[in-house]
Amino acid sequence: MTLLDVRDLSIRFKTPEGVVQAVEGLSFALAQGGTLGIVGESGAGKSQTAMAVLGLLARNAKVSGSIRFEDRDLLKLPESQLSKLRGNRIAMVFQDPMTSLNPYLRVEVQLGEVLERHRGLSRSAARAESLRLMQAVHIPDAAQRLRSYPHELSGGQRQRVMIAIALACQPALLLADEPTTALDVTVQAQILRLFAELKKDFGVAMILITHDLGVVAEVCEHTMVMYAGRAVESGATQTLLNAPAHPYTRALLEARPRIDTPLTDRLLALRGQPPNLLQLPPGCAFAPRCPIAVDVCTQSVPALRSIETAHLAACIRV
Amino acid sequence: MNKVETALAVAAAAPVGRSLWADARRRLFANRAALLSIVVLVLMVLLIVLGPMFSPWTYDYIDFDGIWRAPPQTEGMHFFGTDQLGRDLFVRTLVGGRISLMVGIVATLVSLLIGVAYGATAGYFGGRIDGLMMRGVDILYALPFMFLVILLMVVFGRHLVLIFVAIGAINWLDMARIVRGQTLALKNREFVMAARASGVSNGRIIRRHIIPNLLGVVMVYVTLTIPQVILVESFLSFLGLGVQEPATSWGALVNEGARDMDAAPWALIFPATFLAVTLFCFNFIGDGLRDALDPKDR
Amino acid sequence: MLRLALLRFASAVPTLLLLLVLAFFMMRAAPGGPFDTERSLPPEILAKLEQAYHLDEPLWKQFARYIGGAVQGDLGPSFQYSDFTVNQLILQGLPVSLRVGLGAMVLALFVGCAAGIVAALRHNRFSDYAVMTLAMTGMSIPVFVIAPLLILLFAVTLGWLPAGGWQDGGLRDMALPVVALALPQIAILARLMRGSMIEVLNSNYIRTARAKGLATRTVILRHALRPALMPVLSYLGPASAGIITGSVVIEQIFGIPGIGRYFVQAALNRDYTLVMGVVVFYGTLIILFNFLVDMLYGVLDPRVRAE
Repeated sequence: MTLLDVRDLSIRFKTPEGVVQAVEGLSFALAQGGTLGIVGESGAGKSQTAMAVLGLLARNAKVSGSIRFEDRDLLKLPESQLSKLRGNRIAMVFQDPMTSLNPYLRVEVQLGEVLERHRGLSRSAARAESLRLMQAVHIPDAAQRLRSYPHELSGGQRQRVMIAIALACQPALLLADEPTTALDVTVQAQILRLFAELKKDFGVAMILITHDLGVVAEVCEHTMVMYAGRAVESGATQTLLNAPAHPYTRALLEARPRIDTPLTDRLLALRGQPPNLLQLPPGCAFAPRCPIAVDVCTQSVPALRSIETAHLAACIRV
Repeated sequence: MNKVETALAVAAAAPVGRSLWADARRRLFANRAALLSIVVLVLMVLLIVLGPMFSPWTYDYIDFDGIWRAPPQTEGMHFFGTDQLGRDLFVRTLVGGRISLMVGIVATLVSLLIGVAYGATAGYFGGRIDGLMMRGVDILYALPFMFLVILLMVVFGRHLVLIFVAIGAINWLDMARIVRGQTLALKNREFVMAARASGVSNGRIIRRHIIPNLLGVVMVYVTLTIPQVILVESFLSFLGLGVQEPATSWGALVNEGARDMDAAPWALIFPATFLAVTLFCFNFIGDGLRDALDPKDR
Repeated sequence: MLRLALLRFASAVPTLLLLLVLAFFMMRAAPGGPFDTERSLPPEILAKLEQAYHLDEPLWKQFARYIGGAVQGDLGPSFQYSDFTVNQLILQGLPVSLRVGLGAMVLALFVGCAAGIVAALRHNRFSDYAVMTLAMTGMSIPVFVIAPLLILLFAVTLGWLPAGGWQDGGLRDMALPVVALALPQIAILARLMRGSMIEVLNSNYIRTARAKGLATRTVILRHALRPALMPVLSYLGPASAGIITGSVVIEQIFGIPGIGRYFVQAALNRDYTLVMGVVVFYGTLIILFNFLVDMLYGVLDPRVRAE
């Protein structure tokens, strides 16, 4: 059963410097309880895609296409309807737990208000439920931590609070934007394990946005690689990791630190700069950095096409 | 300058290099309010400097036969009319503007010199010296300076130089705080560390590397301080503690004008407009500069 | 919390002391004495007068005497109004000045903050530009220009309000002076509030609040308002100083019998003790206010409170 169906999504921002093409012609679907990893460098359009699903794009954004969620087009819903979905059916965990919680409010307020708003709980019922949620995300001394201010918690604990807030109303879809990037390596592993556990316990569908293929490998069934606002490859995570088709995916994989190859070789894998979104190169946006590019690559944008069952790539060379 | 230092100087110049300033200028000129303010201000300065030459009158010529002439007085060449002593208000407004602007600029420069030197030193040395120096600033900051300046004027009489010094002495505190903050941030940048590692003297690092990089904030601050200073001077003049008759400033003219505004509203309106327009321009340029140099908030 | 209070207090005391020292020695360095009137007094009377006011004592003794008095709240006799002490004169003007000053402060806070919030919520739209242009105007037109213009409009032309004076100190008397005194502060507060509100609205935790699906009202009132008010809070000290300074001019223009008017008279008459008394009194008030604001800041910000 399809939960989320994104079709031909385009996002543009009007800025004084010109029109920024953040996302272009993006389509993907996510089944109920499924997990999708979106991978790419910063500026690839990953976060903007998530913000579009939440309906929280900046005011200068122009969106087209459709985002169907539980058989409703989110792009056509009025704000009043959208805000009833946010934090309720669709929840989001952000990258930086240090700044994502309000420093002036106690944890119990920030957690409880979602329950009061979407589940109509009374203050005392919300408090009891908050305690349960804090325990579900494994925060020690949960009752005491509820009375804390964010600055009194560690980075990992704050991210756990963020996750508790996101799960408070048992959402059908959880968007996680680089949820582990700002954390220590050991804490990263803990949080990822928590995600895997929650996916099982809550049965929530998840979109995990990251630049780290290792994270995707651990949590996601499906993966989509984005470059300069477009999907360049998508398929089952195992397929992508074992047999990457697009040269960009291959470069990303080669850029991962490994013990068996010397460092110098790997750093060469992704030469050049991410493209300027104000002025994308003609044809395939990756062509200027591509090791196997030919003349045709700079002439037209390659379409995403099936190269084997459930494995798509946008490259004319494969 | 030896080779290492030359290389360092180039490195130091890089962060304030051409592209950043060119960018800032482009953004400033794209800001219509700021651009218009620059044009108006230039015209204002030209008028103040050259205007009095085109009038047959001087600012202190008293004519008891021609008091309170209402403008426009093209025949008598009193473009803005005359005051209660028959003095030409056109020339007085422009000459008053010279004083107001001069006070604004000179006093700002005084505060600039003290503030930059103090702030850069405190920020650069950091640690205990910084703590001590900023503690001093904190203590001074809480003083009701306006009252002390009034006291100063009461005690030592009205003297233009005294006004410069007094106002300059107030405003350097803000400057010192801003410069210190910037310096603290700058001194941990690579090019400063490199200079220090290669044994360049402290004084030289402050002069060559820190101060050039402070230019942006300082420029913004200066454009926003000048109107404040002009305001303080006019405030003193209004209380009768500013410039001595027959010399005048916009504040003094407004004071006189306000007294007789029923009989001769033009004596209030012309200097008040000049004063307000000038302050307006400075404030707009300052805002524009800040946005241009720090385009974060748009 | 207690540590914070002690720390702030420790920096307020030297400020106060410095204020007293500066004021005292500046006054004593003045050329000409307080009894230089048009007709010169006979030397023996002059000597008597100086003796009565302790002006014949060495400087350090006078200073010690003054500090001793000031600490006990005694600011000495007035030279000009010889029947009154400085305390009496200040206390006489205080209720009037307090009414006008507090009125202006409250008005400035409400209008300034409201305007700033509206501008921030309508960022880069018409109401934003309108508020900002008005605020810029407010900042660029000095109090002593605004005041006569207000009189010209509301008193002379429309005849709605008195042009000045202080009959019963009611709303009619207060309206124009309070508005004139508040306007520049409204302008500054509106700009400050707008800037900090925009910054807060762009912060990550507001993004989180929105992602929770909270009503816009809740996002602004519960999540954005308090952090956005913090910079405004720290401006309250300078704002009070601005209003006190402005009140000197306003009281003069509107003929209000407050402390400011005594101050200007005293300054022009070289009434040393009165000028100094007012400087010390208002200075102490400003320093005290800064101290209170600092403490309040600590109470309201959980991060500072924790230290």
